[in-house]
Amino acid sequence: MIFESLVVRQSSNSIHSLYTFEFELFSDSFPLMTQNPPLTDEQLVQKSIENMDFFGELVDRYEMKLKYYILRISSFSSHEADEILQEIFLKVWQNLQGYTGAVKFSSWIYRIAHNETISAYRKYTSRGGDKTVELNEEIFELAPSKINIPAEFNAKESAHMIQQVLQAMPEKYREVLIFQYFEDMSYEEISDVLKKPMGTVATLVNRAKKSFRETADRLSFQFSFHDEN
Amino acid sequence: MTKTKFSDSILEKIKAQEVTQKSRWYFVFKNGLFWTIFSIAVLFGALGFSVILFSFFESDFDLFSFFNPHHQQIFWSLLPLFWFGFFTLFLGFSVWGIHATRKGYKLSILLLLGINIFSSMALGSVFYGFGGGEKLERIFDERAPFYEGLEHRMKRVWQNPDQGRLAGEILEIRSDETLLVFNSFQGKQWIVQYRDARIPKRELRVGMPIKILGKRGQNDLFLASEIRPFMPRRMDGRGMRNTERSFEGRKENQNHFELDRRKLRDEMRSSLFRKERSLYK
Repeated sequence: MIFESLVVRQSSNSIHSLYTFEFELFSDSFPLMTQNPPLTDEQLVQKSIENMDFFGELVDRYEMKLKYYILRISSFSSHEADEILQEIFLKVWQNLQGYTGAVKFSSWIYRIAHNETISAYRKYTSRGGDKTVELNEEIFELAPSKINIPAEFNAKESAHMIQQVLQAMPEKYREVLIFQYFEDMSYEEISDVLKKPMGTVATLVNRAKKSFRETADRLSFQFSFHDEN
Repeated sequence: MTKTKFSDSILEKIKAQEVTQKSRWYFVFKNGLFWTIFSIAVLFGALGFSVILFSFFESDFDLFSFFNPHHQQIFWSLLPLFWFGFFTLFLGFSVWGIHATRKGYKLSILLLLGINIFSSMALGSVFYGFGGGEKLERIFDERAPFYEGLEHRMKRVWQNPDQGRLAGEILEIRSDETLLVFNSFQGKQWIVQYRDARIPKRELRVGMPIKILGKRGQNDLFLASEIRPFMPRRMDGRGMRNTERSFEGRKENQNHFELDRRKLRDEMRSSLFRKERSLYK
């Protein structure tokens, strides 16, 4: 009832004052609507240390991002990725008081995710495990502005090719490309995740792009990054 | 606060397994530990560097061109290789320590190396200035069975009159520009003619340990072309005493060298005096 009246009145010219009026009047009924702006990651960390429920909010924020990251970097199955993800969040919980705010929280949590995933992946392969690459076009979609993909390929085919090229690349190059082009991280963020100086990251990214193109050539795919030197 | 099934399962797992958070102090301590490792490693690196400086200044590497045909072999035997290793080891520890601190990774390894080398060298120079290098070298020489001190290595190099190298202590300075030198390596006296020799700015004096570059003459005569203090940085009383005590080499013979220096010198002078008097008779 209240919502209906709110929606109806949105079309009027005095929408702003009405919004304010309604929110103030019914703030008890909609507690989350009054929390504006939403808490930052850093604020959530502080609150999580005192109240575990806030940690659930952090988990919600990063669950899918990290799951996609695990799938991209390791080619684990979705079920295996969930297991690793659980370990990651338990580790995040354990080390939460070690987060000082010196780097972005996203970089900090990705660092833990990266270490856990790489460790699990190496453990798996050292035991002789052979990963069969599962195609997941969604996680390997790249914005057309970032990569030159021949027009004849559809999104699914492109994603499959990109995944194949990435899997064939050396790990150190694959990870920086995934950070930059799939996770949209800046050099500084990648530097904080990998704990490497920014200059080293820049060099790695340049070499990774070159390696990507060469690997693609080797696999008879013809694409490269737009911003490749 | 709406939660997905996944976040609920995480919270439940935390509660069920009683997963606790590590204390903030754990992280403060961990970071502090790496800073401590860095500081200690820089300190030890500096000590190593002070001994390297000491070895270089004592070894007179500029004379090596006169050491044919064995100059390369001698050069390597006098290089403070042990201390280069020592310095490098602690340099590695210090770089690792600072790299592992919270923000250490932001600096490149080259920059970290540069900072650490500079810190160790600067601090090492101060240690050397205060005699730290000499002291540490002596401690290793006396207590570390695997380590052969610079002094012993120097003596080995300089106890070869046939190849033009002689070392010993001045027993007497004569008016005809000859010295009487007791070479305790071989346990014999030498008459050293130094008329044409380059001699140190510091005046030669009785009791001074010296090394002599030159040519062996007939019998006990040695023609000097260059005379230098044996270990110039040890020319103070402490250094001379140390030089003399272990002048003949290895530690197992130390009892022999406990003899009082003055007594030894006096005995030799009187024996010489007796020998000369017998000649006149």
